[in-house]
Amino acid sequence: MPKAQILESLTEAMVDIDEDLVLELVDEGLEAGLDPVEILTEGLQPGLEIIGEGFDNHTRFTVDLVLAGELMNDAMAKLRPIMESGGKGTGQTMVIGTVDGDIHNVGKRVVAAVFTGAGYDVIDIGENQAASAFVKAAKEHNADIVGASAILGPQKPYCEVIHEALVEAGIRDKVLYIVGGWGMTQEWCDRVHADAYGDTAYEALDRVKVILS
Amino acid sequence: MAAIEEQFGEMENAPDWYGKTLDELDFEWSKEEELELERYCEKIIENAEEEEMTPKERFEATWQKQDKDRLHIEVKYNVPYAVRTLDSFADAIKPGDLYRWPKLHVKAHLATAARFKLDIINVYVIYYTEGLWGGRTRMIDYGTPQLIGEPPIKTMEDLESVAVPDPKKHGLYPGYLWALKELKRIMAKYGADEVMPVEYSFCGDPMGNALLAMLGFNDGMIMIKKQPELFRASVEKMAEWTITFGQAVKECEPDGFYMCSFMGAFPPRMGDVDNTWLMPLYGKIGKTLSAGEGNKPYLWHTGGQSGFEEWMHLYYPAGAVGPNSFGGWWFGDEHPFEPAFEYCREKDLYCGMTIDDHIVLNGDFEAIEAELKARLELAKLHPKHFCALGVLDYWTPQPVFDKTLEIAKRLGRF
Repeated sequence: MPKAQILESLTEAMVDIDEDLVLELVDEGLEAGLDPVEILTEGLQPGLEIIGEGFDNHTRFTVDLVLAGELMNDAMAKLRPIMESGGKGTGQTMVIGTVDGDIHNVGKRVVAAVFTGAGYDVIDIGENQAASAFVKAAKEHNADIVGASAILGPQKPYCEVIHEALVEAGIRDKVLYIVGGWGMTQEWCDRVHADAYGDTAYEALDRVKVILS
Repeated sequence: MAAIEEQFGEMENAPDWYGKTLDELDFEWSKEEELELERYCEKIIENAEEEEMTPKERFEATWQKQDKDRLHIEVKYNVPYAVRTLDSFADAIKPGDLYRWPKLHVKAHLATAARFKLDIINVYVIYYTEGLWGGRTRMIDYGTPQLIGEPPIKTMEDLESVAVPDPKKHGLYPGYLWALKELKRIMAKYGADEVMPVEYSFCGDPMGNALLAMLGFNDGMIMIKKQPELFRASVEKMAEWTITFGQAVKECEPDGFYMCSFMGAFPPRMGDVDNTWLMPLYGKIGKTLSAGEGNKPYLWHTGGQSGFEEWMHLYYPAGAVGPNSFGGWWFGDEHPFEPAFEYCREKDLYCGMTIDDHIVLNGDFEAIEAELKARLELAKLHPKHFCALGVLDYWTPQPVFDKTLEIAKRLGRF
């Protein structure tokens, strides 16, 4: 199959969340000599974006986000080693987690998938995580971005605790700190001293790209 | 099968009474607390005298399709916002405290109804059966108890090894039921029940509960496509719980009771997987809970997440809404409101559509008025339709809520 067709088919397979076909086409693309970054940005990522847009306009469902996120992770498991060995990808690492007292994770997983799709190495530390866990992971992985998800309204203030922990650890000025979750606003973003927030995963990605550019 | 208590995981931070049955709970009120309760009830009665109809008359008129002074307003303020009233927005008392201490739960709802001149007291459920199917849980300050570690149900064998719990005996449910009964008793003692209706939740729906408490949300979502038999079996078992729990809530004699409807997370059909079996199952729940002698509280769903449009028209044919079943919906803001109102007019269903909670959080009164106006003009076209207001964000300032209610009452007048 010509390379362009592989990429097009990959996007369609991703939109259909056809796990077997996506992974098969990733292998086929690599065998055909496609750059893994190209497979990611020209094949997988457009499909994920289409699903995300569909969710925003109510034609796709939460289950699609979950399945697509998992599929993106599986595809990246194939691509990342090759990208890293070739010095590709953004070369930047994101640590993301849901804050202490909150176990919601769907939105966080979508953000992780979107940033993974954009070439970031995403370390998901899980849910119900104390500030110390964010700091530990940020140091361990030399994170460029730290993302905190707070879906439960009352947990929003905990995002400031994470900011303070990053300051105390001496790494706050080394990371871009982003926050998200239902009810997160610019006012709250400022209040908790985060650098950016996003109403959607793609909005967060766009803002991060602008800041880091 | 082992004794059912053996399937329950440990609950960290559980209250002292955890493990007691409803019959064994013996909370008592001090004289000061009795005065507090009496004062809240007095205020509720005083509030009711300010308008042409009492909230209870208006609620009844809505369901009975009779004339009324304005639209009934149903606010899903839930536990977190009720707590805010109790501690004057200090963020001192936590929502988790209400789950641990049923007396606080009772006070919080009476205080909120008194403070905000509500049309109905809405008591939302405490949690979603986490820990009752295996797995450890932890009570937290600001949310429902959290499963710690892996979800308990991963295989059909896991599912077959667990029995359906009893809400009068297990978990935090005895405390919840105690609060429901006690609220009614106190309101009756001081006369507030004559003017103020109460609605009690038996949420979540079987599908939502199965995701949260049995399968894990993410794993469960994946199972819908990859292990549909296990997903279905889990939901069907959870439906037995829902009926049992609904019956127990009904015995607390609310004026209305409701179940969340989490449909919208996935479509009715996903490739080869047909999920429409959920509809007759929900029909069974509605019909079972509607039946029986004695008190017949009104029964409805809450729901309307993004994606619900695919499901809405499947409910009525399956008996999941309609006569002798769930009587209609309180819809969330993600659902297109015009077609929903039209559909519910055609089918003679209870129906309200809320506005975006973000604009209420932000105190955008212009937008609040515009969104409410659009919905309430349609709600006025059918006597069973009402003004729905949403799950207030924890940080929604109280004056904003006051003003929003004022707008809703004004726009809802006939």
